[in-house]
Amino acid sequence: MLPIYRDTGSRIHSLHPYVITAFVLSVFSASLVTANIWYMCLLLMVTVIVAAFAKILRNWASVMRFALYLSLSILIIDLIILPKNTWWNIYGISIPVEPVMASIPLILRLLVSIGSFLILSLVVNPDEILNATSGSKVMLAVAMGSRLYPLIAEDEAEIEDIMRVRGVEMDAGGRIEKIRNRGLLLLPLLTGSLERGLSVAESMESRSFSGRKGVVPAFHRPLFRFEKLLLAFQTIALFLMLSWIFIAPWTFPLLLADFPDIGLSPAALISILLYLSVIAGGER
Amino acid sequence: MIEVKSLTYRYPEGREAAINGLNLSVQEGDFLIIRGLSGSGKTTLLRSVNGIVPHFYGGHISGDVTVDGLSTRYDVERIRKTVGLLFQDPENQIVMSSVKQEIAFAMENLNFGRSEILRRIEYWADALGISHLLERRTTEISGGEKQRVLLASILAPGPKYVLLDEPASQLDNTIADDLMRLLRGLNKEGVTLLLSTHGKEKGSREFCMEHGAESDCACMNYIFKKREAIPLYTVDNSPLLEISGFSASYNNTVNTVGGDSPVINNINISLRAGEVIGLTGINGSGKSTLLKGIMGLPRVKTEGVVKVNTGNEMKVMNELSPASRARYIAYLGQYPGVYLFHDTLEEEITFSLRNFKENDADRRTLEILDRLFLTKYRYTNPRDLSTGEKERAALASVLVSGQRLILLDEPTRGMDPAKRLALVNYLSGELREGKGAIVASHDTELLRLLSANIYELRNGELICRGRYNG
Repeated sequence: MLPIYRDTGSRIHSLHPYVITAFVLSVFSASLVTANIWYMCLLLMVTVIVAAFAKILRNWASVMRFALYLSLSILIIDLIILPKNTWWNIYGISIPVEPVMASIPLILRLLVSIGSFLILSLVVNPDEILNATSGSKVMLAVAMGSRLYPLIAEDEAEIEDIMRVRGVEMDAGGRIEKIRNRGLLLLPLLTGSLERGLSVAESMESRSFSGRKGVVPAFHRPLFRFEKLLLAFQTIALFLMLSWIFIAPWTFPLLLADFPDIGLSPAALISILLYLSVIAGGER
Repeated sequence: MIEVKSLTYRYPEGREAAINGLNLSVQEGDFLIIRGLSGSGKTTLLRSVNGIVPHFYGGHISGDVTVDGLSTRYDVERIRKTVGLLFQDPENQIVMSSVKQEIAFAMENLNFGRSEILRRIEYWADALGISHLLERRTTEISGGEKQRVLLASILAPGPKYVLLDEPASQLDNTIADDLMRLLRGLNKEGVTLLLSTHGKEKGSREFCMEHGAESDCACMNYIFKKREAIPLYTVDNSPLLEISGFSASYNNTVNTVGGDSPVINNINISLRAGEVIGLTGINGSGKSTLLKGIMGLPRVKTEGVVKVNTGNEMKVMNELSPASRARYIAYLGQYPGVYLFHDTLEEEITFSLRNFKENDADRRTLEILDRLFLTKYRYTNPRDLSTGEKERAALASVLVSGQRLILLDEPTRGMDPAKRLALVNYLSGELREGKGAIVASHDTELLRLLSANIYELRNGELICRGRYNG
């Protein structure tokens, strides 16, 4: 399963792309500035709930599994480089406190960041972002990327088949051999993608793309009043979260804190509820 | 009116001119069929009328191309409002991810008003029979549907001239016929058409090309004329391949492009030495799936038994990996270019030889190159070869183990009749030596020339159709 947009028919899918983008940016920003474990756990839960309401949980979770593997590397690095002065003894196993406590916020931050941006890629139709931004060339590149991504995945599978029929045992051998065999795919994949890119560019050029100026998108999608409210909620949520830093900084340890505080303010809790407002969704 | 005067053009990396002093005049309302072998300059001519050449490619140009008096050198943006260009491969032309957006793309670029864009989308979707696709995503529709969506995108701005570069080469015969009917209808409504093709399409007049210049159509028609089919070879009666109770479907957890999975239900095939089976059927009927299933490729889920004659026994293939099966079965998929990624053709062959753990690499490389008439390209970069040569080079890369069973999937895509004939001659030699082949193709002429026993895949079933008689 690829992390690409597919309309599951959920109400969240029918929201204006600006609302989802604001939600993702707000949650991502919050995860960047906080190191409070509980708050980040709540942020992660928010992404899970939104993914569930958007009916993308399975696809979302399949990518998050890889994020989880990635996050293990953070723990391993912290275990190697950080001092180990205090130890927990759990069922006879000694666990160093400092590296574990330092890596938990980092791991949560990584999961929240990937989880929130996954929602953006799975829920927002790239064409609608293009329309919302008056057909900007940058957004067109994003929209095209999302179209070409599954084709590249298909190419990769095709090249893998070709390697097999040329005698390469793609699935045999140890891990190193498998990785080496996968490496064989890179060059043909890159060449094929470049050739396709050139063809698409030629097709665009033949349809007057170079003369594209002041485009009025044919399928402009206005922002409805309810969506404006949701947009405001996302902004307020971020503001509340930031205000928490100034109002009660002692409950809000920053990035380099040795031991993150576990306290949560009402402002933080309200911000979580405001983030969750997107599950109300748009018109179907 | 389109006028090409003394046009000479060379691509930036080209050693020879792709167009060489060409003159051509196309009147309004013409339906011009452009014929020529691969590399004769047909595509470059169409590109030059739309201004893609030289504005997109660069290169050296002399002479002039004018459309309604406007030169493509100076007025390219204005010309593109009246000249639409449709390329060969729909997959590599689609820009947007939704069908509606794709049709609107050119109109948006030309600053049409919103209501006008919506009106034209509706009109052309209805005219081209794709109204039901408007809410779909471009990744979810078939190749034939994509080609019609692109045609709608090109026709919607209302061009006076439409240029089509082998538009039917990727389509099955039924869809290709529909497309031609549609084009004739457009031409009757006053749209001027220039269509380059290797097929037998007919227009109001013909223009033939060779080495970038106009050539005699009588000479071209000789190349295009009907040839005698190869004789039937009966080497022996022992089967090369036996398939029984075979069912196959696409594994959609991996396949992300395309719509419904083709399914093959409980079919039986027996292929003897010296025989060719021609697999036909509409796009998506499961031809490729069947060949991939025989190879045991993981994207296809299969049931049933596949046995291949290894020389000593009828070996059951089911437990073997695709790489192990490849020692007995040579499989060439639809995109030969993807098979070739080394710097020289020799390296391509030795790569396969190494994987198959074959000894005497030098001798075997020379042997396979010789058999496929590729010896002179031994040190050439395979990506620099022509379409037909690439096909043969890719075939060489999979045939290194002297396999007796050959599976070919659409081997003549984009090939001209001369190259098709070369492929037939090669296969004829292999069949005479006791090899056998299954060829999946829309190209009925190829299957006729190979005297193939035709099987049509329809609704998952295999229906024997006999041989083409003419």
